[in-house]
Amino acid sequence: MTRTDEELVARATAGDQDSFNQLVARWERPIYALAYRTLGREEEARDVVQEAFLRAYRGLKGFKGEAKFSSWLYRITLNLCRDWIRRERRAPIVQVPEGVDPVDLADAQVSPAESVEDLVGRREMSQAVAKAMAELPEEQRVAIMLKEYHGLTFQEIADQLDCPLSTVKTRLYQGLSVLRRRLERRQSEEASLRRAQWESSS
Amino acid sequence: MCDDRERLIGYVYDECEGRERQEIEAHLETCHTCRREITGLREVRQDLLAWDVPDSPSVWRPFAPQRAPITWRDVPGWMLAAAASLVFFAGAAGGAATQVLLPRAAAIVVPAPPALVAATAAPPRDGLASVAMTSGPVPSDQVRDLEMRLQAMEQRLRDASRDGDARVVNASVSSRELLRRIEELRTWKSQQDDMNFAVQDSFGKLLARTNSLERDLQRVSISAPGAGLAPGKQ
Repeated sequence: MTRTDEELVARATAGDQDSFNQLVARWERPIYALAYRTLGREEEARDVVQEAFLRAYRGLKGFKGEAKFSSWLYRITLNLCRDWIRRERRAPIVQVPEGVDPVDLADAQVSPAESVEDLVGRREMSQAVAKAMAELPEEQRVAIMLKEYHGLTFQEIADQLDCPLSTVKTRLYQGLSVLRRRLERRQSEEASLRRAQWESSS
Repeated sequence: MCDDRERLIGYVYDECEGRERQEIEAHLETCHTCRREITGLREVRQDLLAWDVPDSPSVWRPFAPQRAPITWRDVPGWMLAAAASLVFFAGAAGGAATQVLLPRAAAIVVPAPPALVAATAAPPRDGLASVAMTSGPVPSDQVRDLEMRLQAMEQRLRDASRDGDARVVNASVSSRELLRRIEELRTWKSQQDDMNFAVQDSFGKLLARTNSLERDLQRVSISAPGAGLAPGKQ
């Protein structure tokens, strides 16, 4: 039987540690994704995840269930990410490798329908999005992440970020517009490059 | 409508009321600029799906499963019956011996069980409290057992004071004092819990760093076979 987050929280608060293990198993991946996309560093994202769950465990008794457990966890994670960025005085950097390593490609799980060209294209797009997101102002980046990758409603994002609903919409609109321009520019640059390569080879 | 970006965003994310949606759709039929804007926003949302997050090993070292406390249901019926008979006969024998050996006028005073007094003896002071904690983690089932013993003692003391039982007082220790000592033991236990937690935390990080190092080394040995790490390639 699958228990809800609320049931697991109640049991964990009463001392059932296995229920907390189940909460971790359920939320570790989304929390890692949020931390990784915020910080752009795998190692630090893992540290943040661990610290977030430790804080959640220690604070279980103080969690009154007014918000969803996941919202509470997101808030802890975002606060830890902000602390890290402030402490390190570093902007988030996405670890984009210099080129695509063919050995790495061979190791990657390629679905039978996906050609190597598709895989390279997908990776390049992933890196381009990561780079464009890293260049956004933090408030726009976080709003987009919570909306796109974690499916929060406008109101939930406003609660997370302590800002009015209209501000959330504005940040989303501005952030998406900037991303759109950057990604379109990148695509047009790539198209020019391909055309130039094709012309020089023919 | 064209300048109201908030409404467009609500439409793109499907977070607008039915009536508002109808208004926007009616506007889009006539406004090329807004139609293009909506299409662009949807395309960039599609692009965002490409952003992968690398796989990562779990950083959480799960708590060890707790040992289920033994309940009466776990004990076979024949064993319960045998134990009940034993208690009955022991009680009957003790009663008979008392009738024969003790003078009738003597007050019936039973000393507090030594185990109870010893378990709640005053803790060492001045920094010695840490001696009571182990230098490493204690298995969670042991910590749980300890908590159960503390609870049992506490309950016993409460029952005794409620029933006006003189046995605990007779051990020259007040029940309030014993309760206080139980609280102290509980504080120790909580410190042990914290220590377990800290060790677990540290072990989790150690594990994560080790995994990360392994992955890095794997990459080095594959991508730079001449660098001296890959065996037999120099």
